[in-house]
Amino acid sequence: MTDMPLLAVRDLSVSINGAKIVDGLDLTVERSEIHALVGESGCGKSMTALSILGLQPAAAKIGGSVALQGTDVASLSRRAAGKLRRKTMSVIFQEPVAALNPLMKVGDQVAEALIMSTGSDRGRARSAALEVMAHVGISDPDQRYDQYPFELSGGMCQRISIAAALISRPQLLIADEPTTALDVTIQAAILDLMKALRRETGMGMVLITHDMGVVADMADRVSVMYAGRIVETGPLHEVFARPTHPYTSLLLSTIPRLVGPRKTELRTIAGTVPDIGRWPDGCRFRTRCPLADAACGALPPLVAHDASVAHLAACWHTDRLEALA
Amino acid sequence: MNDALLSVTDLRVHYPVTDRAGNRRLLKAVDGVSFDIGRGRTLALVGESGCGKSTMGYGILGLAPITSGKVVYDGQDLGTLSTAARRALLAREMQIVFQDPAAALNPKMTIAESICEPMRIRGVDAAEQDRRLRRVMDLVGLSTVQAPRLPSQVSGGQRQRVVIARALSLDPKLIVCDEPVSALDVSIRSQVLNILMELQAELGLSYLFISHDLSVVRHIADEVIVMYLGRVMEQGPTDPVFDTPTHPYTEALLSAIPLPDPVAQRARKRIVLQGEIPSPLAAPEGCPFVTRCPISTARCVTERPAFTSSSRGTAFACHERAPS
Repeated sequence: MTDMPLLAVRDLSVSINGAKIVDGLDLTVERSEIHALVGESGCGKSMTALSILGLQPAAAKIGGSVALQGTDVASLSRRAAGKLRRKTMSVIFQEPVAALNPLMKVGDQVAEALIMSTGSDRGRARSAALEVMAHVGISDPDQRYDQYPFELSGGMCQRISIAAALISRPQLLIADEPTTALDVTIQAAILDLMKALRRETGMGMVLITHDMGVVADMADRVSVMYAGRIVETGPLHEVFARPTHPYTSLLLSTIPRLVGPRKTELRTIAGTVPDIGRWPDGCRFRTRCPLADAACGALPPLVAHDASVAHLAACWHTDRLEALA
Repeated sequence: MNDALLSVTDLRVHYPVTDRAGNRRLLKAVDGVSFDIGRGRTLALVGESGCGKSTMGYGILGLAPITSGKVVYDGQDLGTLSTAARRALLAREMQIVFQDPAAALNPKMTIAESICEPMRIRGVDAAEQDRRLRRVMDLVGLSTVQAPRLPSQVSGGQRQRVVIARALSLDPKLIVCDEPVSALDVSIRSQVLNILMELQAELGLSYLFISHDLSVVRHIADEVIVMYLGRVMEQGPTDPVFDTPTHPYTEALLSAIPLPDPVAQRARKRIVLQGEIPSPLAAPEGCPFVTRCPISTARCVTERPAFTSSSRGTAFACHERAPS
């Protein structure tokens, strides 16, 4: 049990009305590990998160397996799978205000999360809620408990969401763009809080974001998604120091920086992200890739290209990456 | 000073509002901001939500009511003009590019119709409209094949190009860019930023560039104003503001941005501010930043700091950092 990864997703695919939104995705999260899933809108990162949580839309067809500490959720009854998920995992969404019930006191929403996952009684849930609210940096939890979401700022609502996610002491947190809707100084405080909680509880995390700065700050491992597939995955420092897929490499080089030359022409990636589910055949990045040729008509496998067996990329032309510079 | 295209002195935008307890209050969205924008230059307004940066842009465009202050455009004091004359001048000389191109375009109008609408309103004849349509589409890198399409039939990046082309159609000299790339995907942002820079070089445009993204601002702006709760914390040329910030808020804001480089990011220390941004209705009397400032003193609570010039060509409002 203990040597099993917290989360092991194997060959996950998600289709809606015949459109393959996620295709052949593998994802592993170990205890205390932050695994960042990064990509642009429509790449399938949020659908991956929803599928892990069992919250995918009713029309979605799921393939592959999701195992929590070695238990394949598909092997369980619906009820048992739901119970295992509630016990093991929590989620934080991007829009803290939308994620909360506007008609319910915020403290009750935190307490309810404990009642739902463990069946705790109301009195105990209330005191646990006050404790976890104080822990995530909500001042005056006694007074805040009885307030409604509209009375709190965006940053405070996100702390409430985090408190609700943590009250059941999950082993795995799925954080879907947790700081994207927040101001940068509030983002800094929330990122620090998430790192401290990981340190204290050994919780693992799937961190979904489009912000390479957040990835660089938080992650241990990073997987880059493009058009429904992971195109590169590896330890954080290796992926940033030696990006091996042209998409990762270009994405990193297009970002304006806080250091270096200003007012220069920025690197760009030609074209636009293809429409969801209407991906090109073969390598899906080939319509925008400067290295693409006839070989790219076949789908490249996600394999190791250097000494590190943990650093994988799906590209036929990793030997020609210098041509991008 | 005289060669500035736009010169703004002590601009204030105050809104009378009624708070939840029913009391009449004054919301000081912009409270005493001054700057010049040179021809062909970019001035950026940066800050977090509620700092007044968008209101400032709207105030200049005549889309928000100015409470007091002087706006001089190309040597002409707008306050001395009749309403009609001011509107005509603003419409001819200034345009705006909004954050969300999907919301800024009429979904039922074709791209050509959207781009031509300002010209139609101004009575430009059809042949001239067609000539300018081709020109501005070419300038922003849109193919004329796309002219009969609807906004829903092109990508987000292309929609933002349409919004920029529409802003260019009347040949303005100043464009207010309100978070022009924030709604775009990372791989598309650099395309749009490049277009804005190219247009500036080619047409000599001036930009008032409103953004919360400091990395983007550093890349594109000549000068920067850092705002907090309607007031200026620090302003000056981009390099000294970013490289050697003087105001503790500028420092905190810069340190809060995670760098997309794990080695550099993990080596630096983040200044994490305590607490939340106060409501603009409850802005402190003295320095607006006092409730979160790591170096504030009793004086900062009561006394509004004056502007001090730094040796690096910037100006800042801080008691503690001012030379005594």
